[in-house]
Formats: sequence, C-alpha cells, structure tokens
Amino acid sequence: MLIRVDPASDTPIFAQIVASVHADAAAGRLAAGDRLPSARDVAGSLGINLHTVLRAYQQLRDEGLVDMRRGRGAIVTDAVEPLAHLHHDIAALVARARTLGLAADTLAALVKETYR
Amino acid sequence: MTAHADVRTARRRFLLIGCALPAAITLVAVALMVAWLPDVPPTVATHWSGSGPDGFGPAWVVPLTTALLGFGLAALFAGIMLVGTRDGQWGPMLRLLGALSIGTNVLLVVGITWTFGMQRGLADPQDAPGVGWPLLVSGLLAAGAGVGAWFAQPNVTTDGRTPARTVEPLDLAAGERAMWVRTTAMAPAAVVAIILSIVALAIGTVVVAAAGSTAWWVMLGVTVLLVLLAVTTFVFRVRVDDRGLLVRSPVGVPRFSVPLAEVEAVSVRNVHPTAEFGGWGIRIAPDGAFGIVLRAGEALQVTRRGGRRFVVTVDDAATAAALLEALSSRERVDPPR
Repeated sequence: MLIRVDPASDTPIFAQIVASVHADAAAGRLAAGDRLPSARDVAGSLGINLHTVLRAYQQLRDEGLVDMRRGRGAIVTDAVEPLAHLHHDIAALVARARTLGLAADTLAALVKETYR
Repeated sequence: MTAHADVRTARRRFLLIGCALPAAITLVAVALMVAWLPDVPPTVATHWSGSGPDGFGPAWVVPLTTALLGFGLAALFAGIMLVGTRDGQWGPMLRLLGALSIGTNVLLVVGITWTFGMQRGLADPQDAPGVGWPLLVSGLLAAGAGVGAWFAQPNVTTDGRTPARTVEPLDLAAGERAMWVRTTAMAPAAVVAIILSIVALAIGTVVVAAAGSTAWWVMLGVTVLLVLLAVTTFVFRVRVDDRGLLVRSPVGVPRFSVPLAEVEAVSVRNVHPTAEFGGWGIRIAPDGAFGIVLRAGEALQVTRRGGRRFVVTVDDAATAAALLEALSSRERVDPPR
C-alpha cells in the first residue's frame, strides 16, 4: 500500500493518511485481512509524529475500515470491498472530468452535492 | 531454430542425461548386486571408518536402497526440471542441474556397487577391504560424468529477463513524503511442501535416535536449522521510503536493503525462478543478481550503482517502482547535504 503526505497541503496530515488508505482500498491495493504497517513504521518512514498516525488509524477504525486489536495491529475489514468495487467507475469519472477540464475540488463538490 | 525449439531440445537432452541415463545405470547396478547376492555374506559391511568397516546390514537391503536412491533421485531431478520450466523458460541453472543429477548418481551407484561387489567370497564382513579406491574412482567417474553431461547439453538461455519495464515516476510534489509497504509470501503449496519435508526429517531424527545411533544430534541440528530458515524466509515485508528499499523478515533478520543513493534504475518484471535463479528462496543468479524469489511472476527490480541487480518478487511492484523511481530521481537532482 502507498501512503503519501504533503506537509505543504492545507489538509491535516492525519486526514491525508486516511485519504491514502481510502485510495489504496479503491485501487485494490488492500484486501480484507491485510494488516496496515505499524503506526511506528509509518511515522518513521514519513518523518511525522506517531500520534498523527495513530489519530488517522483511529479515524479508519471509527469508519469501520480497520479493526484494531492489541498486539495484532490494524487489520483491514470487509468494509474495504465496496471501495474496491468503485475503482473502475472512479477512474473513468476522473478521466472524463479531466478531459472536460474540471478541477478535483469541483468534481468532489459535485459528487457530494449529488449524494445528498 | 526458434527459442521454443531450443528449449525442447534442452529439455529432451536433460531428460536423457539427467534422468534416463541415471535410471539405466541404477538398473544395471541393482541387477549386478542381485546376481551377486548368493556370493556375499548374509550380513555385509555398509559403512567404513578410517580403520575399516564399522557399519553392517543385511545384504538384500543394499540393492533395495540403491534402487530407491537411484530411481528416486532421477525422478526428483526430472520433477524439479518439469515443474520449474512449465513456463517455457530455460537457463544455465538447469544445465547444471542435469549435470548434478548424473554426477550424484554415478558417485552413489558406482561407490555402493563396488563396495558390495568386493565382499564376494568373504566369510566375515569384518574382513572387507578399505574403501579408498572405490571412493576415489567413483568420485573421479562422477566428476567426469558431470563435466561430460554439462557439455553434452546445449547452452540455451531464454530471454525471460527482457520484459523488464521501466515505470513512470510517481507524481510527487516538492516536499511530499511517501512510503509503500507490502507483505510478500511463498506460495501456500511451497510452504506445505517445505513443512512436510521438515516433519519427515524430524520423524527421521526420532527414529535414528531411538535406534541408538549417534548421528541423531547431527540430524537434530539440521532440523532446527531448517525450521529457523523456513520461519525467517517464508514471509518478507517490503518497504520503499525516502531511505530506499528494505526487505526484511517479520522476525527482523534477515534484512536486505538498497539505500536510495545506491539506486541506479528501477523496473518491474516477471521472474522465472528455476531458469533464472535455480529455484526459490534467497538466491544469487549466475550473473550476480541477488534475488528474494518467493514465487514466479511480478517482481520489483532495482539496478544498483555498479550494475548489480536486486530482485524481489512482490505484488503491486509497479506502484513500488513508481515511488522508488520518483524518490531516487529527486535524490539525484537534489542530494541531501
């Protein structure tokens, strides 16, 4: 799985980690039963605070995307499947938006608006 | 001649030299020993120390053991070759395997047959002569057979390595940080096969110990070593971050790494374990490439400065390669002070 954070971005770091995991799930890079890297490893690799990573993992647990057990780490749950199913639809939608010259934020706002 | 026909020729030659010939030699040896059975004492010497024979067994067991060993090894080598080259790939490792097969066969079969035959007409196996000559001659014959078998096989190397693809670097912003991790594991069938063979060895150890032989502690050592090796090489965690590539077992050792500054080029390719690395596991190919080869198929390949290749079989290698390429090109442009 790929985790990326940009300290220059306006989005908080923990939210960027959450978004990375969502993207991994949608891209089919995560399957139910996979274990996320330990928060310590992620903090070490990305040069960020351990508590920031833990906060991201807690949010993923609150969403039901991972299951946290003491000693076993964060395990991806079945909730990953719907995200993976949307992979091709999202890729197609983004490609279409790009050819139409739509910005990512605009597309996201449109999707949110339609979902309501 | 096409590559496909070349591989067919190499495969046929392997089957002839590494399997059919050893089986034929075994057959002749077993027939000879069965014919000699009335002439040798009912109990024969089967093991020698420096000062003379020190191990004995019933005479009929010797041809039986020879048959099992000879045919078994020929079948084993054939199996390794047939299973390992199902993908139609061939390489020097297989040529070496064929030579090893006939060499091992000659060493064992000639040695056993000679030491059995020289006991004809003896009343007491304690009087069996020394094994210096049989060992020397069977060793020389085995070496000759191995070398001959190497040259009797065609030098075929398929281009299983060419489909290495370079990847577009991941689009990273200037200060953006990223990591990629993935667990890579041996195929379940391979794990089962290894566990079964370790269990068989463990049972053998117990049997040998129960029989009162002092060899049991050597076997115990080998068993423990194999368990340790298996535990530390079934599964690896592969990680790419701004320090470079790290491959380590969940236990922590062994660990292998390529620092970012050492990365010359990154690509994704298909690995054919038998043809290229001579099998599975932590491997060094004849051309010096270092491989962590747990299965056939998708692999991340890093060319180090100086040209040596580091290969690890892992899923989603394209993403890993894209990130490693992005990080290393960033390092090349702006090396840390």
